[in-house]
Amino acid sequence: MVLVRHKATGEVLEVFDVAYDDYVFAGPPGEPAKGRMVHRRDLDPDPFEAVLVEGLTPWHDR
Amino acid sequence: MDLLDAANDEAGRAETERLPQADLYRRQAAEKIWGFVVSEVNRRLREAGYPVESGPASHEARRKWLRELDRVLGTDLVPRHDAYADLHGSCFYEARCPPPEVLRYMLEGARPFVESVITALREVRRRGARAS
Repeated sequence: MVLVRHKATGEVLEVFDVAYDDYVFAGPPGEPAKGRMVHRRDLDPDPFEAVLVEGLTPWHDR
Repeated sequence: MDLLDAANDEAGRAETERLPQADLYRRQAAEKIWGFVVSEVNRRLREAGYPVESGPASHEARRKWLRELDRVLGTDLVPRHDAYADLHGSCFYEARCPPPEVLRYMLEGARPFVESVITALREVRRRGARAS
């Protein structure tokens, strides 16, 4: 599970999948129905780098 | 609120918000519609005894079983499934989304599509002709 923090709100978000244009689909851990599109610049650590390190199985493939 | 309920709200906001926010809502909705279809179809297939493992191979397995159901029953599950897969691939990943009315049509068709899969699984079982 790739977890990141929203820089502005401090909210911990799970990265459910990553798109090709620096946006990710992320939301409260385990709750994709509450997921939303968030730009990587708003998250810490960088979700794209975190996915490379930790690996990611998109939520719908699990 | 389930995935389709959430997608319904977001598709509605996509119709009223301005760009670029409207596009983000559209992509959010697309991702949830696809996620609903995938998770529900996988679950129904597994319950009926058709193996669909998790991970990237699940797409191939799911499509394989739907293709077999189409072959046995003459249904059109694969092209309907692929329309949802394209919604995911083009809209969510690549930000190339269909017009709002198409997204709405697909949203409203998601539950009926899953019902069609359930009906096909029941029918193939009734015939004693498990797809293989």
